[in-house]
Amino acid sequence: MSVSDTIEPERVKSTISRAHELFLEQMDRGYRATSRMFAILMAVQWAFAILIAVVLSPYAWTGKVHTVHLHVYMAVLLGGALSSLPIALAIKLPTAPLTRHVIAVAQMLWSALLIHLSGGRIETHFHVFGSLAFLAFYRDWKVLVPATLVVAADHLLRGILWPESVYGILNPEWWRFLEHAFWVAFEDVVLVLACIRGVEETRRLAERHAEVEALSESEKEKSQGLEKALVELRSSQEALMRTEKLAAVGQLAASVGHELRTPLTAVGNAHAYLAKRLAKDDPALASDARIKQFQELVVRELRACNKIIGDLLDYARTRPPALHPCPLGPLVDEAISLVVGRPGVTIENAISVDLPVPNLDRDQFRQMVINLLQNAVEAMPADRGGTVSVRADGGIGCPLQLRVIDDGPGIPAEIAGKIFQPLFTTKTKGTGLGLAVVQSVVERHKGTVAVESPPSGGTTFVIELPLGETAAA
Amino acid sequence: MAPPRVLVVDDEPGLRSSLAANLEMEGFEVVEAESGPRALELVQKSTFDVVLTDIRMPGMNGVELFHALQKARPGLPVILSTAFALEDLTREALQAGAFTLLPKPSDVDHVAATVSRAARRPIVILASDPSWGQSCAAAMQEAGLRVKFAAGMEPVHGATDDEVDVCIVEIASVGAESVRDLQRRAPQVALIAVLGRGAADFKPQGSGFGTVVCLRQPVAPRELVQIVAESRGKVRRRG
Repeated sequence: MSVSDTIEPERVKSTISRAHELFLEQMDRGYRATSRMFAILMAVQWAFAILIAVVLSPYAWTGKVHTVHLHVYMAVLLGGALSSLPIALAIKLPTAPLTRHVIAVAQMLWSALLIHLSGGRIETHFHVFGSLAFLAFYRDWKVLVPATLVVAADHLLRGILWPESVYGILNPEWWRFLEHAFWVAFEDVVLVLACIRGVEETRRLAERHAEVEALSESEKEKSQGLEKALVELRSSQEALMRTEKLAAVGQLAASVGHELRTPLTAVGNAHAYLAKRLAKDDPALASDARIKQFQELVVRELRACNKIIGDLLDYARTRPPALHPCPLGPLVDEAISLVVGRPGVTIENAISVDLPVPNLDRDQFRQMVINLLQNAVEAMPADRGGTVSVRADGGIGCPLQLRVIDDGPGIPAEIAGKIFQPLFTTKTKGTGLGLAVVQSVVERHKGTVAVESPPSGGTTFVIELPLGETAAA
Repeated sequence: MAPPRVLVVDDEPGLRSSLAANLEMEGFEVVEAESGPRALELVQKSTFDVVLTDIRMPGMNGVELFHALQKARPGLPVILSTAFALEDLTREALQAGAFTLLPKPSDVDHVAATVSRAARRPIVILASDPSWGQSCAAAMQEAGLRVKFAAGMEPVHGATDDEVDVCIVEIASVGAESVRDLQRRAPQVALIAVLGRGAADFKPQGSGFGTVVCLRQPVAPRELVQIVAESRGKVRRRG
């Protein structure tokens, strides 16, 4: 888990691309809104054009002669021609550059038309300035270019060919065009600057936005990390408490075990003496079935007691392993000879003589193997025999693996995770320390122990010793 | 031949008397002592072939008794016995020449066999290169062990002798083959194989059953003395 305080390079990169994305989104939104506005404006202008054609133009434009029909048709037809394409484009392709250029041209033509319809009223020229300002809503200064060109061309051509239509009078001064052009150019400069600044602003906002997003993302990650760390901390604290409790229990059990060993040893010695004495002095009584039965019982139960104490002491032991080269084959033979067997269950040692010699604490490792073998023997169902085999490979160039394989019923999946926990047992008679000792011995050898138990049955314990511990360096 | 005289030292009366009774039945002449000072007193008065002492005792402990006995009766085999794991104090005693360390509980037959072997003051055979071998032999002799040392195979041939119970062989000097041969001919002898610093050059044959210990050079002489003592406490295969 890594929670860094600064935004790392990868994140900076993604922030930049995210900022660009946000910028484009924002610009698109602007294009869309502006196009929609123009679509409405186009329709309104059309309606307005028809209205002024009907109401105003006869008087403003030709004075006394009633020529209203022509203007109304012009307003309807020309206005329709001017408005329909931009409206269609604004609906179909609201964000396309083509749309806004077409709109720019159409809007300026609208100005021209309205000026014409109003008979060149000077106030109607304000429509040009208003339109340019509206076009600037696109925040794309390029749309001002065709717009300006259209205005210029219209004024120039109509000023020459039909001055009344532009200026409302037949003989405008020669500089009227320049006057108009100056104001349009002036507004263009202002609007271009506004567009550029608007784009900059949008970009900056997008960057800010992306940064905020990235920060909140990293905050979220951080808080998730903290939460995870908290959970880990809690579980390791619980584990520690469990371990400490176990260690305390283990220490107590170990000292009790030591106390019990002395009387048990005395009882064992006394029993050995009595048995021998009886066999020597009264062979007939010694061979009595009851006597034999109880003698065996004493031996067996004493062994069981010593085994429990041994398990406890093995578990409580903290001595670091004394590593010496130790051939595994003979060690496993030794372990096999110390396992309490069962009729029908065979244990085979399939370790090759050529196996590299690992460095082991002989006593601890042997105890570990005994525990695994004893478990395997006891796991066999009572009604059938079985085979336990010990194999090993690796050791040169790869970790040494020791496998204890049995063909018993296997370990149910629901308890597989618990078998190494101290005091966990499924036996009616058992301390639940056997596999805990296995794990702690293997860990003290810096190795790992794993268990494989497929649903089809059988169990394999795999002990892996790292090269450093086994290498004949 | 008179039966070996054994002094059993333990502060636990039950343990002491039950062990003594078993040893007596095995044919030893046994004297009991309930403390270290009492044991020293008895040793001053008469001779013993072996002392078997518990380590944890109030007052003088077993290791202190061992050191005192070494002064009073140099060469007297002392077997230490404990229910506890190997401690520094015990390790030091084994390096200084205690015969061996027996865990508690131990099978009485095993105790009897070990006491009986200790009483014979068995010989350690050492076959290795001269410089390391000489320093090890000197360390063992200083610790009161009987050692036969030679820089070659000839002492190994003597390993079948009843008097020998431990054989230390440096594989590089005598070769792995002759060691395997020794394993076959004298399985009752505890074998300590000392390997070179290089790759594994020796693989014991078949079941060693506690009688083969492998060490890797460098092995300090004192460490070797300790390992000889430890290997003397293991269950032996019958010859």
